[in-house]
Amino acid sequence: MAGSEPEAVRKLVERLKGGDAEAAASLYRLYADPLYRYFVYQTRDPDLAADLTSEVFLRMLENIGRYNHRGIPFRAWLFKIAQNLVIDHYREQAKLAPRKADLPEAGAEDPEPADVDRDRLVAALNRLTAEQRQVVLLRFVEDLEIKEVAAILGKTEGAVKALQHRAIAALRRLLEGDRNVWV
Amino acid sequence: MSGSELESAFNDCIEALRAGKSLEECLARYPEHRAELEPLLRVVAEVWSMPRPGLSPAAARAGEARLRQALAARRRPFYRRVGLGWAAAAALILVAFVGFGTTVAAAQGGPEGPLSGLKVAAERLQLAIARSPAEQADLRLAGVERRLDTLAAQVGRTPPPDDGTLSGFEAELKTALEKVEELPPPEAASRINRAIGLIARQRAIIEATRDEESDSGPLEKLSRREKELTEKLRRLAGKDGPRTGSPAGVVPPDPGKDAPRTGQATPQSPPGRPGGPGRGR
Repeated sequence: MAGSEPEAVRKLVERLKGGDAEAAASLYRLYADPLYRYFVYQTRDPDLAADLTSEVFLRMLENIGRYNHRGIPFRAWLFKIAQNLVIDHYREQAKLAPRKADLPEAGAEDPEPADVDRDRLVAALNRLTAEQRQVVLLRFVEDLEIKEVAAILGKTEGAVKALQHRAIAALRRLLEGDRNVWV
Repeated sequence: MSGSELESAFNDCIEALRAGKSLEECLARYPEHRAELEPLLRVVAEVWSMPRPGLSPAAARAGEARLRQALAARRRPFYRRVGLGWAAAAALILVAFVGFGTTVAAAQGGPEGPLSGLKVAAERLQLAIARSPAEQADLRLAGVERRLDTLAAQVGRTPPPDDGTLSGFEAELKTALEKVEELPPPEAASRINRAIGLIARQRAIIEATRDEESDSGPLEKLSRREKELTEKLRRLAGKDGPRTGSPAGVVPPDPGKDAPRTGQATPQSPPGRPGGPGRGR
């Protein structure tokens, strides 16, 4: 698993352990956007997502001394930190319902078909279980490998494969059910 | 056809699509599963076509600056961090030299150890010679950080840090923040930022020491405090205000590039699948 991580990333991590600010900035630029996307789709709050993204990198600094390439890939380690932050967030508040501002309202001006599709998909994603949503975001939005997702979720690769299948099947049922409503 | 066969075919098709195969090529390998596979793969294609929002340039710059600041704060020697002059630094060195042996023993004993009185006296000396409210605030925060360092060293040992010790830091942090609140906004902002980092460290220590039966009260209290400070920091930075249209921090997707296809999506490989770590800037 660790062998698939680009050598450039490993070198940046080693430099970061030595306190290299430019290495820290490079890693930030590499991973800030994927982490931000993950938080946006988990929390549906762009400001909160930006804050949580920043928090991931602060925790990265605090714990970089304990990170080891022989464990999980660095990208997966960052997403593991992100997952913990999402869990903390949900513990503080009730699970967020989809924000009304993100869904088209009945009687509103006809939205573009692409917007309806996108909102419908995002709404359906929000109705998956937390675990199913995690695997969809990590596997199909952020394109992580099965091994990475398994490390992040603390599951076997076989379990992740089963989970991704169930998640997409659930998403399909939700979308087909919604299509009957939206049309 | 068993569920596990369909699952296996589905996972196989996902990897084939990611490798650049077409939908028809994938379905041709599993004609007996076509009816179930095709709608699932079209859903995957829709997800692959979802917008990929990114941090706004301003938010990205702010996040990177915060990271650099945190890294720089870790690198500075203690006396530079608190802005002490040479005379004050010399006085501290004298105190440290005289009490070196017993101070080491006190550090090993922890914040509540038998020789912690010497450490408290040293800190009071530092506070007495601190010239400005900003220096006092920095010294208080540095004291909190030293206690966190000691507590972190206790993690994993027997006995583990108890709730009384952990909540004692909450009181120390509160004292430090009272000093910070005396400062004008530009000076307070960086110190509030630092306090947020200290709270995150304390949460990490608590999480490392608690088990399933542990009371989650201390964690919840810290989370509330962190939220309060973050809100305060936002107000200082002028971020407060109602959300409009495209909220700050979100780059709206380019309709020409990011919008999903209308009608049924044709499963293709995921857009721009990187061979490297991600779609960085």
